Order: sequence, then C-alpha cells, then structure tokens
Amino acid sequence: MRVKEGRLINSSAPLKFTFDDKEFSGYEGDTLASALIANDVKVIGRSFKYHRPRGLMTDGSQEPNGLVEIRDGNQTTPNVRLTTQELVSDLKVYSQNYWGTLKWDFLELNDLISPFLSAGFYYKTFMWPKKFWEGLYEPSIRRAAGLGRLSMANNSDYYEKAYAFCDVLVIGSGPAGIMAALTAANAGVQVIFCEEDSIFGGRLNSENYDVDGKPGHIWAKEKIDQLSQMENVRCMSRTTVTGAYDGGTYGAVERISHHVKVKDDALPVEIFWRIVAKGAVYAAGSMERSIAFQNNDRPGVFTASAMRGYLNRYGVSLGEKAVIFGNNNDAFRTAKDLHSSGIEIAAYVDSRSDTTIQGDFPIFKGAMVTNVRGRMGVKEVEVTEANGSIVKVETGMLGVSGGWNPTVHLTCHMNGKPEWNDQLAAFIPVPGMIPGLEVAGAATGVFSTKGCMKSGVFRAKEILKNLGVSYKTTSVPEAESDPTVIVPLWSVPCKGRSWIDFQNDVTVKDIKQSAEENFKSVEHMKRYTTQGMAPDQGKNSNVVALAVLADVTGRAIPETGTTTFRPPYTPVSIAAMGAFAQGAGFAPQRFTTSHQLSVDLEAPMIEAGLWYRPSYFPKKEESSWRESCDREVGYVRDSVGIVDVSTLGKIDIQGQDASAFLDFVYINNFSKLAPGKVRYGLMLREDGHVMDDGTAACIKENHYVITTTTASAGEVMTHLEFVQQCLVPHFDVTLMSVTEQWAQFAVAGPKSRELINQIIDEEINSDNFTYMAYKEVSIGEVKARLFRISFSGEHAYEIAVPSRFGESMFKHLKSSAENLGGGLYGMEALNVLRIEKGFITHAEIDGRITAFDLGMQKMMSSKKDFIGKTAALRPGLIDQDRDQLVGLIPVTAEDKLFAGSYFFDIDASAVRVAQQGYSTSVAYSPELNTMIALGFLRNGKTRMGEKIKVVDHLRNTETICKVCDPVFLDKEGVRARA
Amino acid sequence: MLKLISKSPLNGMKPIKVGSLVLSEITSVNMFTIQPFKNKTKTVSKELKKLFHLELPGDGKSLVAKDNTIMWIGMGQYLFLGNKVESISAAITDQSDAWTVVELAGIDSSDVMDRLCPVDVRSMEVGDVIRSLLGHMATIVRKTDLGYELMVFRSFSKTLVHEVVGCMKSIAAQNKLRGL
Repeated sequence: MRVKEGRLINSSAPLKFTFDDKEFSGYEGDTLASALIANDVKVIGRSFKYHRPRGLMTDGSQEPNGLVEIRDGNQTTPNVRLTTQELVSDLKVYSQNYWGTLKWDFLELNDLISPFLSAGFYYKTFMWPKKFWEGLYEPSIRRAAGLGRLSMANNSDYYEKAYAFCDVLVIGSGPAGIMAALTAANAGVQVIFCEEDSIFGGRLNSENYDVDGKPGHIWAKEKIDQLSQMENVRCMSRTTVTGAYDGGTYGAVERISHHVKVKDDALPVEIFWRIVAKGAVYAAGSMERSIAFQNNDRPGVFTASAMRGYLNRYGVSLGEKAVIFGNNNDAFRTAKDLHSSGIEIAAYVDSRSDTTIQGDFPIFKGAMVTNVRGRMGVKEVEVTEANGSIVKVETGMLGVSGGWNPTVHLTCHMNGKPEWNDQLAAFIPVPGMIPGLEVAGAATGVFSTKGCMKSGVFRAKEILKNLGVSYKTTSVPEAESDPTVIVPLWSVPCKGRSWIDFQNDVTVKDIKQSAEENFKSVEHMKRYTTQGMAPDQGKNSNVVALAVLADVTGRAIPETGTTTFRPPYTPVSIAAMGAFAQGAGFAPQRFTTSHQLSVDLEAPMIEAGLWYRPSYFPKKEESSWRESCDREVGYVRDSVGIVDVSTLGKIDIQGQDASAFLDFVYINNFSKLAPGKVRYGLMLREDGHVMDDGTAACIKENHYVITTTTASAGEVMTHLEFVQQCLVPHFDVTLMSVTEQWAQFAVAGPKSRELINQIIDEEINSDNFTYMAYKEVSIGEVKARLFRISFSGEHAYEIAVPSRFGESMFKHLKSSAENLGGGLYGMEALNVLRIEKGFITHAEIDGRITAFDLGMQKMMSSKKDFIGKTAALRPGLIDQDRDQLVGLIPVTAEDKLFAGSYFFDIDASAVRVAQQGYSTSVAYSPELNTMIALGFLRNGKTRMGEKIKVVDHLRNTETICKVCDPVFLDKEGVRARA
Repeated sequence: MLKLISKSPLNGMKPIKVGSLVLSEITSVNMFTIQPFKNKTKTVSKELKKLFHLELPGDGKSLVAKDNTIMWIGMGQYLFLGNKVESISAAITDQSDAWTVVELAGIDSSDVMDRLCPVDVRSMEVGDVIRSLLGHMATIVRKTDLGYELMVFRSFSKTLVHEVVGCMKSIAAQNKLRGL
C-alpha cells in the first residue's frame, strides 16, 4: 500500500500497467517493485528448484526473486529485475518460472519431494539407466529449468556499443561517490560519474539522514546539479559498471530506453560502454545480507534496509504491521523509520542480548526469529526468546538484517581476493586488487555517512596524486557518523529448511550436506550446491553460505575464503555486447564499381571475404544456374567474356631494392623481369607451405605492381610489411596497397584483342603486345594499365582504370563484348574456366600444400634465397608419398563429383584409414561434356590413368574416376599465347 | 575515342543532415601517398617545402598550406591531397580513387565517433590524424574545425554511410530524449 507520498514519486503522474494481465497503477518515479508493493502484490515469482512462491526481498539490482518477463508486441525480455525497471505506462509484466499459474504451480510438487532434491541430486539421480538420459531426463530437466522465456522472434530492437575515456571514473553516487566526483571534478580532470540507479544519490535517496543540515537526498541532488553543470564531468545515470579489465578498462551498461514508452526507432535500448580510465574510485556501497532461519524465503520477508527504502523513497509498504529481526544497530533504523510513518512494529527482535536500543514498540533482546508461516505471504512470525520461550507474532512482513557486505565485486574481477574483517563481520577489499582503482566508502567497510564522505575525498585525492594533478581541499559536510555495532549471526538453528541462496534454492542443509560429502572447499561447495550462481552471483548468499560452511567444517571464515566474483556484476544482454552486429552489421560490405550494374542484371551476388561478386548473369530463358554458367564459359572459349577482377589485391612496390625484395618473397626469380613484362609467382610461408600466388608486373625500373588472390590480399600485405620491417630492414623498398585505386577487368577469349583495340587509343597486335606483357595505355584522357595475362587459358587481358571510371568502363566492355558475340561472366564460369586449365585458387592452396604438391617445385630457384626455401626442401615436404595435385574425370561421363570427396583405391573400403587424398574443386566442363575435378592424390603424379574411387560420405555418392593431368585443356598453352 | 564517365565513391551524395550533425562527401582531390626512399626523409621534406611550402608532418599530425594538405598515415607513409606530386625522392603512388572521404561535422560529432572508433578522438587537436577502426573498417581520422574527416577504402562507402548515419540518428534520438 501507499503509506505516504514518496519523496521521489511524482504523484501527479499516475501510470497504469499490468502484471499477469491484471491491471495495476503506480506513479512516475516508481520502480515496478515499488508499484507492486503499493498494490499489495506479495507473490511475484517462483523459486528455481522447489518452485516456492517468492516475494521481493531487496530494493536494488541484487534482487534475487523479482525477475519477470516484459512483453512488447512480439518481443519478450525475460529476467527483468522488478527493482531496477522503472515504471512505464502500459507496461505488460509477467511472472515467470512456473507450470500452470503463479498461484497454482504444478512444479511446486518439487517442494514436497525436496528431501530427494538436495544438493548433488542431479549427479546421483540421473545416472541410470543410461539410455534414459536423452529420452527422458534431459527433456524433463530442460522443461523445468531456465528462468523466463524468449519470444523466439527476431530481436528488432536497436542496441549500441561505445567507447569513453576519462581521467577519473567514479563508480557509484552515494555519499562517497559524490565527494570523490566533486574532488576530482574540482581538480579539473575529465570525470565520468556512473550511477546504476535512474537518479544519483545512492542510499541517500532511501534514508532519513541529514547531510549538511538538509535531507540527504536534497543535498545529493544539489551536488549532482553542480557536477552536471561542469564541462569536465559526464554524469551517466542508469549505468552499471559491470566489469574491470586490463589497462584501466571498465565495461558498463547504460539503459537508454527501458523507461521510455514511445520509442524512436533510432533510440537504442542499451549501450555497452568500454570506459578507459586513468584512475577510478569505486564507491559501489554495500548490500545488506539476510540471516538463515526456517522459512526465511516466504513472500513478505525483506532485508530491513529494503523495507525502509521502499517506505522513504516511494512511500510504499507491504502491510501496516511489521516485525524486524537483526543483529546490528542499522536494523533498528528500519524500525524507527517505519514506526514514525505509522507502521506498527509488532516486534523488534535483536539477537544481541546486550544491545541498548529502546523504542515505543515490543523489543525482544537476545531473541531470534525461528520460523515464518504463510505460504503465499507472511502471516505469522515465531520468535524464540533468550529464555527459550516462543512468542508468535502476527504480521504481514518481516525485515531482516544480518549486517552489510561491502560490494567488493568489481575489485575481484582481476582475481584479487578480499580480506575478512572481524570487527565488521565482512570481507573488505585490499589495496591494489585492480591497478589504478581506489575503493571508497561502504564498499571498503566504512559504513557511516560522514566516514563515506571522507573516504570519497581521500580516495579521489589518491588517484589525483597518482595522476600528478594538483587538487584543492574539499570540505566534508556534517553527517551521521554512528559506529558499526554488530554481533555476527549467520543462521538460526532449526529443523526445517532455511534459505541462503533464494534464487537457486540453496539451504543451510545443502551446505552441510556438501561438507559431509567432502565438498569442503568453498569452490567445490559452490559448484555442488549451485550457491551463488546464476542471477545471485554471490550478492546475497555468499558470505552467509561460507560462514555456514566454515561453521560445519570447524574452520574460521578467513580460512574458508570466498569464491571468485567474476564479471559481469549484473547481467549484460547479449544484444548490447553484440550491438551493431545484427543483420548486415555483422561485417562491413565491400562493393566493386560494377556492383550495382551486376545487381541490376539480377546476378546473384556471392561473398568473397568482405567483397560481393556476381555468381552468374542469368538470362530469362535459362532455367538453372548451370545453363547461365555454361553459356558464359562459352563466351570465353568462343568469343570474349568480361569479368570484374578488382577484388584481387594489388600492391605497389617501389625502390632500388624492389626487385631484390620480390626475389626474397617469391620462389621464382624476378630480378631479371624487364619493364613491360609480367610474371607469375608463388609465395611461401616461412614453414615452406604455399601462402599465395599472383602476378608481378614491372611498370618501370624499380617499380612493380603485384597481384594477390582476393582472399589473401590482407594477409599478403601484412606478410610483406613484416618482411620489409623485420627481415630486410636494410632494403630500400616501399609498399603501398593500390587495390582500391584501380578497377580491373579481365577481357578473355579469342576475340579479346579485337575488343581491347576498340577501347584503347593505340593499337596492340601479336607483335607489339605479347603474352605476359604490360603497358600503360590511354583511353581518351584516362591512363589505364593493360596486362596480357590469363586465368582462363584463353588469349586474355586485364585492363585497369582508376576506380572513378570503373562503372563506365564496365558498361563499355559489356556492350563491346556483346557486339562480338560474348558478354559478362561470373564466378561460376570463372571457376569452370580455371579448373579446366588446372589453375589453382585457395581451394587448393589451403595452407597445407607445398610447391612440390602442386608440381611447381621446379619454380623454386636454386640460385637465390627466398622465404620458406629451407623449410620447403625438408624431406617430408618433397616426399613422393605426399598428396599431389591431379585431375579426375569420371569413367561414366554422366556421374557426379563433389568437392571435399575422399579418394580410395578401387577395391578398398571407404574408411578413414584407407583414404588416398581428397578433391578440392569440381566443375562441369562444357568443353569436355563431363564433370571434372582437381584434387590431391597420394603419390598422384605416378598414378596417371589409374582408376580410383571418389566417395562423398555426406551425400552418399561413389564415383569411379580416372586420374589425369590437372590441365584438362590446351596443355601446351597455345591459346593464351595466340 | 571512348569517353569514360567519372563517378565519385559516393556518387555525389548530398550532405546528410540529422539533428545538429552533417555528413558530406569530399571529392575532387588528387591524392598521393608519399613514402620517402631510404634515408631520404629530410630530403623529401625539403623538396616539399620548396614545391608546396609544406614539410613532412610529425607522427599523428597533418599540415595545410594553401590548397595542399599532407598528413601522416603510418610509419614512413604520408598522404598528400591537392596538387599533383612528382619527381621527389620518394615512392609516389596515386590514391585519388582509392579512398572515400567524408566529413562528419557538428557539435555532437564526437558522440558519433564514440560509437564507431575505439580511440579517444575527443583528445585530438584540429589537424591531428589517427589510423584506427570505424566499426570494422580500417580508417584514417583527421580532426577538423567542425568535426572529423573520415577516410575508408572506396569499396566500403556504403557501409561507411550506413554506420555513420545510423549513429547520427541515434544521437539525435538520444538528445531528443534528454530534451537537448
């Protein structure tokens, strides 16, 4: 119910929402949690294992129970925390994790058979019969497991990733964070100030303390207003710093539009920030912990601080009557705040017998809550007094405080371990756990408001000192400075179950059982019981669990230690981390200058690395790609075909040592390549295997342009730069990629020269421009590069023009080719043409292949050193028994062949150990009227004419083939030299 | 005689305005890479000074004189924009068609860069140059008076515009949400 006007609620802005299709209302400024409490909703979900009814427990992001689905159209966001989701009008909220309804959950049967479902039951129960696992156990467990459901619709929401840089990052905006931010900001450095909540101020917004003579939340607002006006400060609310990483890098999630009703499509839901900070002040505060006692998980059992937070900030309470149970003075604050707002304190139960607290309500000293009754909400609390007598107190809610745990999480993200502090009964961080990060305020165990403020100033100064920045003295305002008074109490002995991890249903009994079964290490216990896993991440359960473990194993808490806190601090949606990568955002696209024309011609585009290239150019009368492909092959073999080859890498190499450099990176000789000539070359890696192949043209003395394959353009450039900078730094040679400068087209076929002569200004003939020649030519005012090279085996050219003329050039080449009876061809035809000629691509040179395997060992110059030479000549790489490049033709012409098939001897069975090699490329050859293949066959060069079995195990085919030379057509190369 | 038609990387794209931000294509510039030959860096600097009143800039810097700009783009690599450069003691490579150049201008341009570029662009002074990434694309970024000049390989033009404009729209929407 709404007890009073919450200090941060806008009561003039009512908002409607539904929870499990039932309509409720709240106000602007509410979270879903406070709005549900205002509407007296006690049960908001079901626990993970036993499906016990669960209510809200906390008022922050550590909430273990309040996880819901939010549905919007066909989108569902599961596991939204009620405590952090701001109320938006018309929000559709659904409880999760049940089979049936929230009230009647079929899986609550688990609770009745809980003795059989104790820790480790998975490991013990589902062992036999073995075949039941896949058929019965796994599907059943999967059905029962998991929190929340996805809609399975494509996520149409927009998310972002971003980078930020600062001198000082301040994490958390309670009293310590505000003072740290002010200190850093006043020193003039760049400050990023992150707050997880929708408003700055931390606990000051939930408490009744005065700061500097005014209510804490008013003081906080004034300071934040001051900071937001400063140019060197970036205040980021709704931003959770989720991880600390190397080099002062922090991950953070900013919630942009979860609280916005009508969203602009361009508005991101969340932004995943990577913040690089020279220094950071971590002022994330602390989290109140519970105490384990029988049925402490009933809906209506809160942490004491959450109860007063809901009251002070939102003006809401789950009932008019409360019981408070604690072991420290802070719990008493809840009783006082509730009492002063007219909530009846039915009992204040303090486990300390010597406490001096006094109030106008029943106080039980040295007493403990020993049971809670009320399945769907607290009805009665059982209090056992110091003398053993039992008092039953009727109430609708119970506030529990077992003390406060400093929020050490981020400090542990680089594997540091916090230290136990006996006086505070808590783990606190030790210096240097994260380089450059100072911990301030409650996160370091300073719990008074004044102490936090001092700590904030001090820690910020430490950071400024490290940065060598001078700073002014920041005065610390007057505020509450009560000491921490606590007597540890972890669990109350009982016969029933008392919860430690509320989300994962881990009880004291489970921890004890884990220890009894010798899972005594805290890390083993965690994994055996699932304590602190999944949504909890150790926030609520860790310290209590290990204290219980310490107790049952007879060890001290420091000796027992903690488990490791890992990033992220709160869950980060995959969509935020993968922002910009949806759909085409997955990778950038590279388009040639002929791209649009190819698309206009309805050519299906295929990806080649990041490039897009036309597969084939269909004609209306053609019913399959093969028809188009065969026609295009015919252009090249019979008249003239045009294909855009701009995607091949082109590297400009200049300098006095350019030819020596080429000699060093290619296996064959280049120093004697004359200006105006082109040569084919093969490059090896240091390990003697083939890296890439291509051509090098000598433009003029000391100036070359080399080509690489499309796939390896980047790799070759990197390799050459490595060679230049590290292996031959004394060479006078420069490298520059010119891939994008030139739009290059292959003009191939018997009529190619005729076509070229229609394009260029000067005439070429068989005498002045022979095979493997290069020259600069003119096309009007445009200077173009003409190469006589061939990847089809035909008389062919490649002509390169500056890219601005690429599209225009492509159009001219297309119409000229069509006039000569030819036309455009795509990748399919290009592939057929090169397979018919036995030319290799990266299908063949896949990184495991040597020059020897390709039959190119004679190209390896014996007169010079080159990269990979020594390794390539190792016996193992020139062994006759290696798989060697061969051609294959089916014995029956109609038979099909598939790339990736394996070779076997005719009589051998098609099993792994009998394999004799594999096919790399296949094509239908219109010229030979059969399928043909290239592949690597064991000792292949000596097996010409032999019949082998080609088996594709995936497609279940078996084809008998004849081994032949990999060059199927024009073995002498007459056509190319025509 | 064949007349080839020239087309700029973004085909003369009109400036795209979103909120306070403007993305415009920069065209019609000669662009050459200058890579001084071995031990010729000082000589090249002198030659450029004589020819264009410019010298080789320091790492991460650019210099402007009249219509010419020279920027550092990597180890021993400089990009010259403006007049034609020839006959100096360096490898000169024509790159006039290799790069798509746009300017992202506006007071919120750094917000867009925050989303695409992993470098602290806000600490750049006017004229500073970095080589980094724009999304997944290799890029040259130069700080200008109004914002940033961005260069990517020509083939990436479409992705460049798509990614930058997407972030421009997002920034405008976020500003609207914050009442800016």
